[in-house]
Amino acid sequence: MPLTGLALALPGQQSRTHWAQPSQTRVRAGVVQDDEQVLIREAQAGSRAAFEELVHRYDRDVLRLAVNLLRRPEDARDVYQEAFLKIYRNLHRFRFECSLYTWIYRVVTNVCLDHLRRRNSRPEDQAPEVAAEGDGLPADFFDRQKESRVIADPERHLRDKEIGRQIAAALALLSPRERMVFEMKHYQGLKLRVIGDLLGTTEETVKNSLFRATRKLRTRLEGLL
Amino acid sequence: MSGVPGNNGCCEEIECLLVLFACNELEASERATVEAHVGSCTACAALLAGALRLPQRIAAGGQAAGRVDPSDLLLAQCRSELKEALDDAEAASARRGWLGGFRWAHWLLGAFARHPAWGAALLVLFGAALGSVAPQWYRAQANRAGPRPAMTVSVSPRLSEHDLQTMGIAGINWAPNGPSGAPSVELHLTSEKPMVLQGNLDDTEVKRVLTYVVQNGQRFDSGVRLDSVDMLRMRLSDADVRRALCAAARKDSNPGVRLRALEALRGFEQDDLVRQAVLDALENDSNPGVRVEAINSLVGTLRALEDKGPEDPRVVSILRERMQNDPNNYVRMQSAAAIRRLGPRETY
Repeated sequence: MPLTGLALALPGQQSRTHWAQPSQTRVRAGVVQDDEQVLIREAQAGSRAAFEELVHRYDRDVLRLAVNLLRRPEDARDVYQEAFLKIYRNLHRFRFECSLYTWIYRVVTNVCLDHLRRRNSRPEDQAPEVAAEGDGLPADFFDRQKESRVIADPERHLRDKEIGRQIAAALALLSPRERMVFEMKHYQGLKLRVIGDLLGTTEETVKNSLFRATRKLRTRLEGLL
Repeated sequence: MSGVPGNNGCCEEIECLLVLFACNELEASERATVEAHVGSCTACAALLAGALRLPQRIAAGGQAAGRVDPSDLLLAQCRSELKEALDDAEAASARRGWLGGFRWAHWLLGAFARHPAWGAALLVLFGAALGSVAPQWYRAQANRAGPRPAMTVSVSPRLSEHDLQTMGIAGINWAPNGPSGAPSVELHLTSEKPMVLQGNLDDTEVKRVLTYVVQNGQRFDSGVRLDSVDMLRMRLSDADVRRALCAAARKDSNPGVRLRALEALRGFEQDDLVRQAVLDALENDSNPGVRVEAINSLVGTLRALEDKGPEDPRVVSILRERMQNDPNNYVRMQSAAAIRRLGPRETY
């Protein structure tokens, strides 16, 4: 599941999905990049259609990052909208000094971190996080259909629910930055150097954050591993 | 954390590398070190296994994205909301386009509403600053533009009473021989309509201005009044001019101007108005020099008129009074001398 959204090519980084056909990927990436530059320039000139096309290229990954980090659909929706509105308002400042992907992720990670920090400072205002499957927080019709099949095995359902609860509790122990680094490394498949670039920090700091996050999770989830 | 231990490196240092090993972030040499250590250390091998399983375990049991939005309904909802938000943003941007000029005013009013005391204080400060700076700025602008061009008139436009009451005199120039042979005068008037009045002493407007100056001495500086008296003494045949000089001899605040007016009037004491002015000066003027000038004026006149009938008894009376009571010794002496000179007709 975590690798399905890695079709994006970062400068200086190839996702595991691309390793299969490197030469084709390079050609396709070049075409996509040219096409993207045209779209960016059109969007900067005020084309709403071009902007929406750019949004559709990246918003699935953005939403998944937000949901995984914040673990609440409402918060993820807020982050999605806030991030893309910021991008819309500031697109004229984009100078092609980095890839649009990097630029967008910088904005998104900042908005996510702000949300996580706000949540940590005011926990009483927050809705409960999405915990284990079938715990009374259905997302949509299809999700509910899937749940009904799980509930056919009550023992497994209870076990999964308990595991989900423990994982949620373990993730809650992480600081916003640790959570962000863990998510981006393991589920977005980004290199530590790229994560440092996105978060505006050094690779060494990212390593430290990842190490602390891993140690906390391992300690908390020792029984599950 | 980046230090690479030897084959038998301690487990604490290896633990740091295990995390990076699990997420494929180690160099080949570091990987070899870790693999060598893990081969001989069961505790670290277990840690590595745990580090490798951790992301999968969390993904399998805890990652929310796939569970919450398996059919992209949340994504569709987000896209729809973003579209509406972009519509709103574009509408707001269009409004700002033509209301942009007032945005600062809106912000300012909002700030004043939130902090009324600060708002009031700021308004007072702004008003005070504007009141002190604006006049200076206006004057600087006026000076930069140079003096306002004066309108030169050749005496034809008649000055109204209002013009006379509001005018100032920047200077009086005169030339003894003007184009018409008579002395020509140039008066620089500073009024609402600055103008230069050119003409000679026979011109009505020139005479009006000069007589107005000597009769209303308090509004003009003494230099201008002295110049005006000097101009007017060339036209003493005019009764208006004499009346103006008599007024100056009586009322002007500057003794020099009073003295000059009396000098100007010398020879015209046969005019009752002039004689009265001279007697008033002798009797009442506070300045001894003016009183002496009045005595001399009267003596000269009375001598010139001794063949023409009896002199005014008031003259001798006042002279006697001055001789006896004047606080100034020289005035008393001059008064006595004047009485002696008038002696043949005087009866003591």
